[in-house]
Amino acid sequence: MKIHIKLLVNDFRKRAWKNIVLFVFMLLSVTIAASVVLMLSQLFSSITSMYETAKPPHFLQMHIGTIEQADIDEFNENFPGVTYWQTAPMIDLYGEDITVSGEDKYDTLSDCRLDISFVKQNNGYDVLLDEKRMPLHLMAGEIGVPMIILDQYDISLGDKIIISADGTRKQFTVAAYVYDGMMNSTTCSSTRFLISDADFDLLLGNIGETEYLIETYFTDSSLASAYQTAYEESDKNLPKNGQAITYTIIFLLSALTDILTAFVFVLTGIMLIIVVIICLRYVILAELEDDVVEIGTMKSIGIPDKGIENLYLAKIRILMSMAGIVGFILALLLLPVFTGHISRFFGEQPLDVRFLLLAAVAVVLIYCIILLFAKKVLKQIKTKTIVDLLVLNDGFSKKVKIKSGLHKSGKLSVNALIGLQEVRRGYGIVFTLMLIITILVMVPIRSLQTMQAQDFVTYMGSPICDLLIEVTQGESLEERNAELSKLLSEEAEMGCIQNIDVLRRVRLQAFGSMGEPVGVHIDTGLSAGKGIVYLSGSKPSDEKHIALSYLLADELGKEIGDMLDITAGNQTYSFEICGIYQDVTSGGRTAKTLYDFPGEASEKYTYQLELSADGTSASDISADEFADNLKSKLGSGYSIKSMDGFLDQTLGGVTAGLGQAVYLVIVISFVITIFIVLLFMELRLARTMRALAEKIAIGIPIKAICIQELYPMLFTGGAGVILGITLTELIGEKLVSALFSLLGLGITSFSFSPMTIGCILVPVSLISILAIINLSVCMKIQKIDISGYVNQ
Amino acid sequence: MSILEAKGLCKNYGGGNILSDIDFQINVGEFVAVMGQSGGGKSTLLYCISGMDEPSSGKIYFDGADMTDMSDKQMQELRLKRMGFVFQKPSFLKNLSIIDNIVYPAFQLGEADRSEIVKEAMALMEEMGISSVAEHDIYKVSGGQLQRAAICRAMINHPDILFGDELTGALNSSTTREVSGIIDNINKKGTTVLLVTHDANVAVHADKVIYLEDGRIMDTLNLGKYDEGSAGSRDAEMKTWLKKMKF
Repeated sequence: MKIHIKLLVNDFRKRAWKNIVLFVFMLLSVTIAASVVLMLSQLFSSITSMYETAKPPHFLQMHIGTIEQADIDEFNENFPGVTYWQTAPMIDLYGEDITVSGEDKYDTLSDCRLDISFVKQNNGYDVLLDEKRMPLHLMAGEIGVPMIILDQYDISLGDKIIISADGTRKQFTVAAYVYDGMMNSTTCSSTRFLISDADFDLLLGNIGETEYLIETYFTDSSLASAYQTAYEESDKNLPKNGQAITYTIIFLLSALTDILTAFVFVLTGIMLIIVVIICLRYVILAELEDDVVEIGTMKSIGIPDKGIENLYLAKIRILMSMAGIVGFILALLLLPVFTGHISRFFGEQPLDVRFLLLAAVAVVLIYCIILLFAKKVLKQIKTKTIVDLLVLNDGFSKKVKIKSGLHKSGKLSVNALIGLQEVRRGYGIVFTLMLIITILVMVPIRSLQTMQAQDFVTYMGSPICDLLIEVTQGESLEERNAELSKLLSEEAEMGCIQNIDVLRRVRLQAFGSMGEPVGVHIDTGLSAGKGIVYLSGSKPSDEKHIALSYLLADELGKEIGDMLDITAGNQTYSFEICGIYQDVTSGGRTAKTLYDFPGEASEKYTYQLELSADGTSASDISADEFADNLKSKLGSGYSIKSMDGFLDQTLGGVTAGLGQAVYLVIVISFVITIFIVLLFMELRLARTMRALAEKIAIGIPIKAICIQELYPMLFTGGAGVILGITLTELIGEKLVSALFSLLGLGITSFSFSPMTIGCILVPVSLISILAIINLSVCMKIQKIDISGYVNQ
Repeated sequence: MSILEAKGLCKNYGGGNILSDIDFQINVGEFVAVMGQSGGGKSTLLYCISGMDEPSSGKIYFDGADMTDMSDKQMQELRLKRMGFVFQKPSFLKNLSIIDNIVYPAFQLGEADRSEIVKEAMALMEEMGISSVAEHDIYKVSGGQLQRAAICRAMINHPDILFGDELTGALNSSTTREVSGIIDNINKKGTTVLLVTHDANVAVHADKVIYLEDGRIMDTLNLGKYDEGSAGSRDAEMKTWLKKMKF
């Protein structure tokens, strides 16, 4: 035992840097595993904990217009499983009516695409919270600002918010930020400001428009879907002039950014642990190779194979234990970095002991995996005899069959031929590393790039256009639409607009394959279904055709070619399903048809404009300028956005969160690449130094030697990167599609947008890193002690 | 005419003198052997005069040019084009066959047509008796064959001088004799040879034997050109001299 300790101490002393490298690899794997576990636990516990207090509804029906509460009460009393319901009024205001005033700032919220409402605190259900996730109660004159708009607007505590409309003016002081369990993401279309009960009662009916949130709770949230069907089917004509949404969608929309971030980190964690284990194998084998004589000697003096294995294992156990402790602490220290977004939108969440235990279990798991792996690698000691090790110098490195060929080569570069011969000598690690790192970096980058591209609007059931104008739900919808239509006709006559497509949205009932009624938002008009990407089929070509969103078709149990019945008034219309497309808006349940359903009330109007800004006309104007121009002419009651602005406001939060995760992954990947390639080259050089010295001795130029070392690195690294990009393009879309499919957002087929130069930049940088590290390490050859090595 | 000349050559390591004030000259076509006890500075002398190590002081002239003033690039070119090296344990590129290892320096130099180089390599291997293992893996040949392959590699660029460091040190007596004969032939064809050896049977083939002790040249034995007829008398002269040197 004493001799073992002595050997270990000597090993730590002699091979300090190699042991440090081993330690860092272990540390990395532990830190990654513990961080991912802590982050995921924190994410789900933050959401769950927030939802425990906030209690968002299991089913929400928004409604503008009058309501008969007695009908709702009667319906709910008779529906089994309903535990609670409430109807909460909101005061809807346009962004133009809201001004933020503070030190050096004075601005309206006119460019906010979210529907803005003012509410009072609810009692026990659908509660708006403070940063400590406690119900927020405000005094008269105070206002709570939703966290999610802080990305777009600089609103500080103490700033003034002035609302002014319909002859009423009221000033509030920003007293708190609101954490809203139900509308916690910019992917939701609405947001809520909280004011005191007294102020709310004062303003209700005197300013803006009143909208109702009809909220229902069940014994089990999964009853929401059945409830929604029954609600829409009810002969009581229950209020449904607005969006209906279930708990699952509320949860997903709120947590989408963090779920995507967590997905990126889980993927990163798994792949990095694989990389770390591969590197460990390389380091252990390199160490065994260095110790060929020592291992042979130990065997020759009768130390059993198990004893020699244990000697190495003891060191790995010590290093791994240290790495476990330090990695665990490091993961705790890094946690605020990874959970910044979660804390910001879900409030502070104290670290639960159960999560610490879970992270500790992950650390122990990594310990066991690494130890088992090390044991497997160390089994090679048994396969070598004393003669192999001491006489034949047959060590642990892989035997490669020589392919004689240099002397048969024509005019191929000698450096390339010599260098590429080395490819089979341990460069598998570079290939694997680059393959994994490329996939690791490229899948999130390509996803982010796709989500940031204008084409992504087609996933939201819209075609690409310059400007998207919505005449939003509310009073005098038809008048506002007429005013817009008139203005756009005038602009078109002036040559500013090249094309206008108008869609009128109506809400009707369709019947599924079993005859069950389902509420559907149908976009009607001659251009309905134009310009969007279809999963199958095509756009409606006549008034007998209808295209359905994926989720709606799924819910109705319908496929292309099936007939779909829709009731409007007392009449039932039959349509043939001609296409299925992806849509994440309106709960993913929409349809498109050319038939206009005359006489049915409009839910909203959407105008898709193509401007004449082709650089040739004097009337050329940018989409944003044109939008501003229209806003000033139209006033409130419209949502006017350029395509970029629309995407930015709807998915901006998600893409920003995902973007941060992607940057972090890129940085981690680059650091790991630098670290591992540096280690690989150091070890390689240490092992081939004598051969290099003799190359120099016989007069091979240092430059040629460096180039010879560069070839296998670039070849294997480049092959890894190319295969990584290819696999990303082949499998990446399926992987992301599967994730979106799992999330149930209405996207089942996610196609990467065409690759841009920016995407290629990362793999090119990775290759450059390989080249730079390779050459910088090779510079050491210049200072090599030739005589010292050749004399060995 | 001298091809290599050392003047006042000194080499110090860690405060101790490995070589002290060495002066000697090697003429074109000459075969010189350096002998001496282990640790006497033989290999250090070889590394210094072949440019693989820098002397602490003194001058070394190769074909009249001061090697101590040469840049790394000039030294590298000199080693590739005009010098050949054979070490006690030659190191070959593991991924290349014997013939590929031999042609490699010539391919790297790139001055001759590659097919000519291969022909030249095959001729050299034929001469050394290793043509049958040309395509073999370096692990699959004997130590003697490997050493001959190393000589072929050293000769492939037609060097002016061949340096050998204990090149028979790891070989048995019969292989040593064969290798000595090969070196003798190389010298007879005009290549200057400088061998560091502790083997009198190898050194006896040299025109001149330098005895080195504690980093100083103690004596030089001039034997003249070797021929089979004078082998017996050279052996005797050598033995007497070495006895005098207390070797």
